Amino acid sequence: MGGFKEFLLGLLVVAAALVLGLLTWAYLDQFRQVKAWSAGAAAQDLSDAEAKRLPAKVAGLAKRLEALTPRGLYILIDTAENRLVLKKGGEVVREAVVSCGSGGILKEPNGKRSWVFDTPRGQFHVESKLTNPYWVKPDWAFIEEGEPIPKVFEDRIAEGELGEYALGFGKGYFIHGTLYTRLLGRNVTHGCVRVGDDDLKSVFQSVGLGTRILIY
Amino acid sequence: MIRRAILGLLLAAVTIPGAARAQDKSQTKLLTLRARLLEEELALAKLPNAYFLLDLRERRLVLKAGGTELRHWEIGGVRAWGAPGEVKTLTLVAKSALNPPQRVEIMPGGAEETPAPVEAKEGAKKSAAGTPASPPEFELEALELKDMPKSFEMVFDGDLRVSVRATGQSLGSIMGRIWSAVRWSIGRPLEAVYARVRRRSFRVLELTLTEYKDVQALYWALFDGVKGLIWYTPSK
Repeated sequence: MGGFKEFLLGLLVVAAALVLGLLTWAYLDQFRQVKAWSAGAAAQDLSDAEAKRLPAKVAGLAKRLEALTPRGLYILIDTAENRLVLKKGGEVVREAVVSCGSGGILKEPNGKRSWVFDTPRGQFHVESKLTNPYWVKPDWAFIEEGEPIPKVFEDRIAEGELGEYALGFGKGYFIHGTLYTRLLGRNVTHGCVRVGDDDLKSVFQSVGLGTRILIY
Repeated sequence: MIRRAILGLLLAAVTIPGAARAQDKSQTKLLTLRARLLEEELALAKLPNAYFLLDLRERRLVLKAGGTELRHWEIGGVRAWGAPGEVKTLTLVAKSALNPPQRVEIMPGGAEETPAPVEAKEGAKKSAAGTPASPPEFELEALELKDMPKSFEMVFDGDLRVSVRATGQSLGSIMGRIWSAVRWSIGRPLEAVYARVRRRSFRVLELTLTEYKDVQALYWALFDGVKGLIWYTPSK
């Protein structure tokens, strides 16, 4: 029994020594890697002429990047916080509580089609401005409600659901009004951005076609 | 005395140009990195998608689109294992978390999800100061910010893993911190050895944010496939 204990102890000592050895090796290797990177990763063999041109090149690139920043009004939408900010340069012109996509998934009962109700993210532009818009209900709206998909176009039209104004930003997505003001600030939509009446009116009247919309 | 002065002058003549050359080299290196970063960012800014810039020296992560800042996060702590890679665009391949958020599947013709239209309550209306007030709290069948994990790991192409967590103060988080320290100082090196044996690169970053809400917001903002740059300057 004593021999077994000694064997176990010996095994433990060997294992500890092995781990210690591996750790030492790992730390030394890490040190060597960082040192090698620090010494040479970016140090390309540049000619004197190339090196002299570098500051101008950096300044030029920074200027090109800065030129991309919108000078006039643009719309910023935070889909996580459900906030819309109308900005002009760095200045906040108006801030509004909105409702963005619910992130829900809808599958067609026969399994052929499915939809994910996310608000698209990235860079968009105001493509259309509509007053008193009506909603042309897409197939998913009927599937979600468990109703048959209509064959006549007129049966798809729903008036008053989008509020008084709508700003289209492509692929059927709109910034529009809502009847469900109690849900402003929550993620409930099918991808569009719902805005309260006063905020929508103000944003609608401020921006023109082509205004940049940044959604994240 | 004169001999000392001559010796000093000679020493200065030898060392000063050397120091200046080293300074030039360091400056050139920094500018080369900066130029590469700007070139890569310019390419990203021309795409319609959002992208991120993680500056490890300044401890700041910025989400941008079209060259415009959308939001930024201050990073409280950074730990790294493995050498910083070259400045190049990375793509987020996958995110993992202990409790990843689940999308809600909507049942066709099922229970009505959207309540009947009602007048806005005070909570949802704007405050007098013009800043938006908090929305009402109730359970929705939706994916919301509060459903995002409070710590997670991201895997980028090029074998880079970035874990994000918040600095906690509860007892649970003290245990978490101990676990994290053990994992970092023993687990990670052993993983590095294993990767070395398999001739694979091993790079891990650990970012600590002060608020768990920031971690959740970061999880939300950095979607699968998002591209970005990690920027580390060897010297100022």
